[in-house]
Amino acid sequence: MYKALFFKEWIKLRWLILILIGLSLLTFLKIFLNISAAVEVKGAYHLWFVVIFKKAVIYSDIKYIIPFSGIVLALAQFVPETRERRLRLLFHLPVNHNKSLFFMLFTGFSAVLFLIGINLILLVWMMSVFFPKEVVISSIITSAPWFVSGLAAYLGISLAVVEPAAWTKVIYAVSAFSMALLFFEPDAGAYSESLYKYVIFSLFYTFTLLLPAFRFKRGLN
Amino acid sequence: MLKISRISIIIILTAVIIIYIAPQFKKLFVERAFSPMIRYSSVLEDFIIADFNDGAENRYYDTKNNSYSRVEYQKMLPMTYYRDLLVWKALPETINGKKIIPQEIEKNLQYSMIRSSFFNSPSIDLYPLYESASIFSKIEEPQSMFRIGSSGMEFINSENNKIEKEISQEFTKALKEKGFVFPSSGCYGNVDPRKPFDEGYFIVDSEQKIFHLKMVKGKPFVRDTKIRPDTKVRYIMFEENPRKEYYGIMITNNNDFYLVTYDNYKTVKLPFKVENIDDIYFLMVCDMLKRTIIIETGSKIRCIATDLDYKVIDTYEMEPKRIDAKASLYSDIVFPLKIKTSASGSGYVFFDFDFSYKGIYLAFASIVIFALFLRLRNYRFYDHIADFIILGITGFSGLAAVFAVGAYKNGNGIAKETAGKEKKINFQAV
Amino acid sequence: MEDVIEVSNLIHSYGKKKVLDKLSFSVKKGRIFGLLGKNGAGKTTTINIMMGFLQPQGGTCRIFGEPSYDISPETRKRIGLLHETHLQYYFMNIKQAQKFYSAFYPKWDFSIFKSLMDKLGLDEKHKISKMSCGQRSQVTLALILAQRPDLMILDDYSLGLDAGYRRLFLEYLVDYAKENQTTILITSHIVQDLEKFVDDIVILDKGKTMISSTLEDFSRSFSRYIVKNGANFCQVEKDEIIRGVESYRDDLFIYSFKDKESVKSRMIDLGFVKNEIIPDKMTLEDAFIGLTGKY
Repeated sequence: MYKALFFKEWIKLRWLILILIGLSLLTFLKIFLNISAAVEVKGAYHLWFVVIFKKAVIYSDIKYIIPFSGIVLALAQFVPETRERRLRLLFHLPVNHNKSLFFMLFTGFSAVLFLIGINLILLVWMMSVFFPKEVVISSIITSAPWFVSGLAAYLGISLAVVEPAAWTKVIYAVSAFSMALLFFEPDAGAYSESLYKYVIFSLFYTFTLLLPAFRFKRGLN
Repeated sequence: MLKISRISIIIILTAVIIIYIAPQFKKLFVERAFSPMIRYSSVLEDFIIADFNDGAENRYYDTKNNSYSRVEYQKMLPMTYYRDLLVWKALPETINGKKIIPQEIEKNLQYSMIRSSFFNSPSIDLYPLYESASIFSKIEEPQSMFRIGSSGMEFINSENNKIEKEISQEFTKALKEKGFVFPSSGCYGNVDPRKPFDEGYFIVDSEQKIFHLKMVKGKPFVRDTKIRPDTKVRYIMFEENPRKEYYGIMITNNNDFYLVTYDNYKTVKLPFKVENIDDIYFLMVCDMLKRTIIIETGSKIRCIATDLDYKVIDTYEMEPKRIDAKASLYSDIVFPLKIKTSASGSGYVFFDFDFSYKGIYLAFASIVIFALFLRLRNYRFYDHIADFIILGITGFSGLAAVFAVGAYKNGNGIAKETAGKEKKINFQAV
Repeated sequence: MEDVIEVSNLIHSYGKKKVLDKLSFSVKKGRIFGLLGKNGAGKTTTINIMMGFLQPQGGTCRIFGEPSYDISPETRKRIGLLHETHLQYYFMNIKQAQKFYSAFYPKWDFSIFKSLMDKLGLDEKHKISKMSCGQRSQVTLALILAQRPDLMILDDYSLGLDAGYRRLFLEYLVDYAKENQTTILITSHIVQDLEKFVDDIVILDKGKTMISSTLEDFSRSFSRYIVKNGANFCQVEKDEIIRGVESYRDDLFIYSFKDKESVKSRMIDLGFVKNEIIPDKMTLEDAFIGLTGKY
C-alpha cells in the first residue's frame, strides 16, 4: 500500500528530481570552472587568502538551488493533489488520512534530503580539490543553512498549497518565504553555533499539514 | 494530532512575525543621539569630549563642562592635530617638560584597536608564514599556509593542495625542541601583507605556554616567551608597528588586557577591568606624552589616561544617550518575547529568546481580546489553552498568528477527537 | 437487513445559502438507488458528506454502520466512488492508474479493467490529462468496476459519455450488480437512463427530500393529466393535490398523487369547468420535471 503511494509520488517527481540534479551539476560545473580560472589567473594562494581571511564565499551560486528545489518539489507534489478539490481522491483511498498525508510529505522531504546529499557531496568533492580540510569544513558549515532552508521551504510551501482558503494560503506562503530567508545571513560559517535551533524551528512545519486538510473537509474555501 | 498541527502553525507564524517585525518596529523609534569622542588633553590635564551629531553644531567640552571652540579643542590635543597647529604656529615647544619636535610626534603615534567580533566570529585555522628577514621592503606572499595540528606544524601548498613535507618537519622539530606541546590552542598573528614588517605569530600550545614563531631567512625561529598567564588566553591582537614597543595585546579569560612587549616578551597589565568582554570596543592611543585607553561596552564609554609606564593619571566615564533607549522600551512592551538573530560584538548568527516583563501588560490585553473573541463566537476555552500560553508569552504577535489561523473548530458536535470512540456497528456483507 | 447508507437530517450551508435542509434517506443492500435533483440541488454535497470529504453542519450519516466522517480504511476498500467530473490523477497514464489502484483493493480484477480498456482503444501509456472527458470517464468507471466493490457511488456518471457508451456501461453495471449483490447509489440529472434500472429513488429539491420511495411505488402513485387547451387558464397554484403544473403549447399538464376524480374536483374548485382532464402516460423524466419544474 505504501509502495503504491510512493509510486504515485514517484510518477510526479521523478523527472523533476532528475532536472534538479542536472541543475546542481551544472551549477557546480560553473563554480569549478570559475575557481580553476581564478587559480590560473591570480594564483591559488590569492584565492586561499580571499577565502580564508576575507571570508569570500566562492560557491555562493549554489545558495538558492536547494530552496528552489524545495519549493518546486512541494508544488509538483501537492498542486496536482489539491486543485479542484482533488484531495478527495487521496482521502477515498483505503488509507488513514493522516498517514497518507504524512507519507506524501515524507517522500518529498526525502527527495529534498536526497538533493541536499548530492549537493553536499559535490561541494565537498570540489572544495577538496582546491582547499585543505579546514576550508572544506567551513564550506559545509556555511552552506548548511542554505540546505536547511530548502527543507523549510518545502514544508512551508506544502502547507500553503494544501490550505484551501486563498488568503490563508497567501499568509502561509509569505511565512514560508520569510522562514526560508532566515538562512541567508552572508558571513561564512555564521550559523555554526545556532543551526540546530533553526533546524528544530523548521521541523515544526512537519506537523502542520493536518490542519489545512481538516479545513478542506469542513468545506472552507 | 489536529491540535498539535494547529499550534505548530501558530508557533511558526508567531516566530516569523517576531523575527521580522520586532526589529522594524524598533527602527520606527530610534532617535538621533550623539556618539562622543573622549580624549585626554595633556595641555589641559583633563579629559576633553567632542560631541558629534547632537542635532546642531558639534560641541567640545571638558569634564567640568567648560565649552571650547573647535580651534581651542584642537589646540588641546596637539598630538592629534599637530599638523593644523603647525600651520597656525600654535604648537607648544614643550608640554610637561617634554620637548615637542614635530617629526617625533608622528613616529610615536600608534593606535591599537580590538573589537569583540575579532574573536567572536567564525574563523578558519590556516595562516600564512611570511619571511621576517626579507631583503625587500615589501612583504612577500608565500605560496603556502600552515596549520598547527595534533601531530605537528604542517605547511600546505596552495597550488597543489598538498603538504610540504620538508619544511613542515623542520618547523615541527624546531617547535618541539623548544618545548611546544601539540596541538596548539591558539595562533595569533597579523595576516595582512601590507603591514610594514613581519614579526610572525604567537602560538599557544596545549599547556597554555606561549611561543613566538617566525621564519627568518627560510629557517624556523622559535622562542618560548615564558609568558604563563594565570588563566587561558582568550585572544592576542598581534600588530607590527615601527615603534616596536609591543608585539600585541593579549586578553585572558579573566578579561585582563596585557601588552606583550619587545623587552623579552615582558607583559604589562593594562590598568582596567572589563565585565563583559563579548561586547567591547577597545582603543589604545599611544603618543609621546601618554597613553589614552578608550573602552566602549554596551552603553558606557570609559576613558583612562596613563603615563608612559601605564600608571593611571585620570579616568572618566560617561553614558551617552542610546539611540535605541526609547525604541528598546517600546519594543519590549509590544514584543515581550523577542528572538535575537544577531548580537553586537559577534559575527555569529543566533536564535536566542529574550523575554522582557515590560511586555506583560499588552500580553495580558491580547489574552483578554482573544478570550472575548472565543466567548462571542462560542468556542471552547479548553480547546485553546496552548493559544493562551502563547499569547501570554508573545502578546500581539501571537494574537495576529492566532487570528490568521483561526480558532479551533471541532466540527460542531462531531468532535474529531471523539470520532474513534463512537461505537462502530459492524456491517457484514451477507 | 441493515442499511448500507443511512442519511439522517443532514443540514449544510455554503455561507448563507442552505444547501441541505434535513435531508434523510437510506439505501438498502443490493438495491440500486437513484438520487435525483436539479443542478445545485445538493447531490454532490450529499455525496461529499457521505464519503467523509465534508463535515455536515448538522445531522448524521452512516456508511456500513460507520460514521461517514471517519470511515475506516477497511470499509473504504469496499466502496467504489466516482467523483463528480470524473476526477482522477491527471499525471497518471492508464497503465500507472491500474498499477496504483490495484494495490489498494484486494479483490481487484484485472480482466474487467482490460476488457473495458480494450473497448476504449487507447494505448496504455496514454496520459489521463490528454484524454477527453468521455475517455476519462471510461477509464475511471473501469477502475471502479475492477475494484469489485460492495457499494458503488456514482456521482453524475453520465458526464461526457455518448449514448452508446452510456448504454453499454449501464448494462455492464446492472449485470455486475445482480451477480454480486452490489449496492449502487447513482446521482444524475439525466433521468431517462435511470428509469430502466433503479430500484429506489430520492428526488431532492432545495435540499429537502421531495420524494423518497421505490420507483415502482412512485410510478404507480404519481400521475399526469393533460388539460387540452388549458394553458390559457389563469395561474394554477401548486398545492396538496396539484403537485406540479407545466404547460406546453396550448395544453396544460397537471401532476398529482391523487386519482383523476380528486384532481378534477380540485380543478372545479379552482373555477375550472370547461375542459376534459385526461390521464397521460409519462416517463420518469416527465415526472421529475413535473415535480421540480422546468426552470
